[in-house]
Amino acid sequence: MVFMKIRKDLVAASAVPLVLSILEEGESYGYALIQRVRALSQGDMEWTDGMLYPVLHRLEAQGYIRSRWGESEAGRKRKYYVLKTEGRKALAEQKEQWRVVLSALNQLWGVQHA
Amino acid sequence: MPEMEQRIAQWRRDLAETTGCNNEVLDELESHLREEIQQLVRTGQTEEQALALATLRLGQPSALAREFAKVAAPANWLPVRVVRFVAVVLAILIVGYLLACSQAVGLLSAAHVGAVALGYTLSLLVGSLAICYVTTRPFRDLSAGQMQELERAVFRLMATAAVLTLAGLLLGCVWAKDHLGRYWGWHPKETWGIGVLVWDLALLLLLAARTWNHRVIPLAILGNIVVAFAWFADIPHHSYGTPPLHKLQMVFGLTQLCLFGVGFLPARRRQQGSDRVARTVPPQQPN
Repeated sequence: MVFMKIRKDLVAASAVPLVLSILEEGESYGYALIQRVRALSQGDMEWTDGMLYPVLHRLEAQGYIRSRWGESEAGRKRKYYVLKTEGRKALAEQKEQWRVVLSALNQLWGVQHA
Repeated sequence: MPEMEQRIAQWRRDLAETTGCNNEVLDELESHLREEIQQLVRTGQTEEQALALATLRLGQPSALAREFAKVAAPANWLPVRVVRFVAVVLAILIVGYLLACSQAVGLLSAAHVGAVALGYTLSLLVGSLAICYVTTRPFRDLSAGQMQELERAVFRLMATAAVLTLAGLLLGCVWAKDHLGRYWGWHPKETWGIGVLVWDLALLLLLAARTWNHRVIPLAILGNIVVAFAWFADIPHHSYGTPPLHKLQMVFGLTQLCLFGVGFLPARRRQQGSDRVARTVPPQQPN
């Protein structure tokens, strides 16, 4: 298996669609979001954990997601995030844009669609 | 475990010092840190190793501070708006007054006095913003957006103050050459003028570094003392520095020092969701 790390700029560019997409699956929190991205990319996409929170706060300020404080199973306080309608619209736009990019790259590289 | 709690508390204090993040953000980051530690301990790491790795994964506080600064949208804070309004009104009044007397005192002299007076006034307004900041924090912590608005206002006002003070000093040099036969005489007023300029530039440099701003802004209160001494320095060509005024300067200086001391009081937690949860969650059980 080739050991590969995704470049920082690509990680930054994909942060918003990834966060919105994971939240589309349901309510989640910072630590779980990072674990999910790590699992999806099989560890190739490494986020500096603390950098996720400014992204979440910006999305909240933009009205795409909302947050609430709750409790973990162990009774520890935890901040949960959920996708709002505006966020779903933003995600739909992001998906369209990423599909165009992926399609262009796939055509150039001759990659078969799954 | 108590030692671990102390180390997490210390980490949180360090993070607060470096980033200036409010308590809600700190709560969230601490919650993340604890999740990570718990997970790492489950995989066989010692608590000490888990804490070291978890803090490393969260990122350097200075890098976090930069990222959070990008996110916060500027939010209105009343003292900033009031100071902006006062600055504009005073600028109009000072320029208008000096234009009216420029025929009597000469344009060069009026321009020198106007630039210095405006520069000093803006430095004092920055100091007054710093006073509002340190006296507000013990009762209500500023949001990230309000903090950004304050930093921006302080930087812009201070930069304008430095430019005007420099221009005023240079115009004063030209006036002194014309009227006194020399550019510079190291009179107290001139020396204190340089002091104000150096102070303004030093504060600007510290603010430009964009770290520790919550500690830098209170320093502007000390600038009030420098400006007060510069404005009322006693020299033969400026007759308003009378002995009783020196006592007032001392009283003013002591007051400013006390207000600067208030800046060391801890900020009050913002009443947000995290606080409500904190009151209902029982103390955490050891793992």
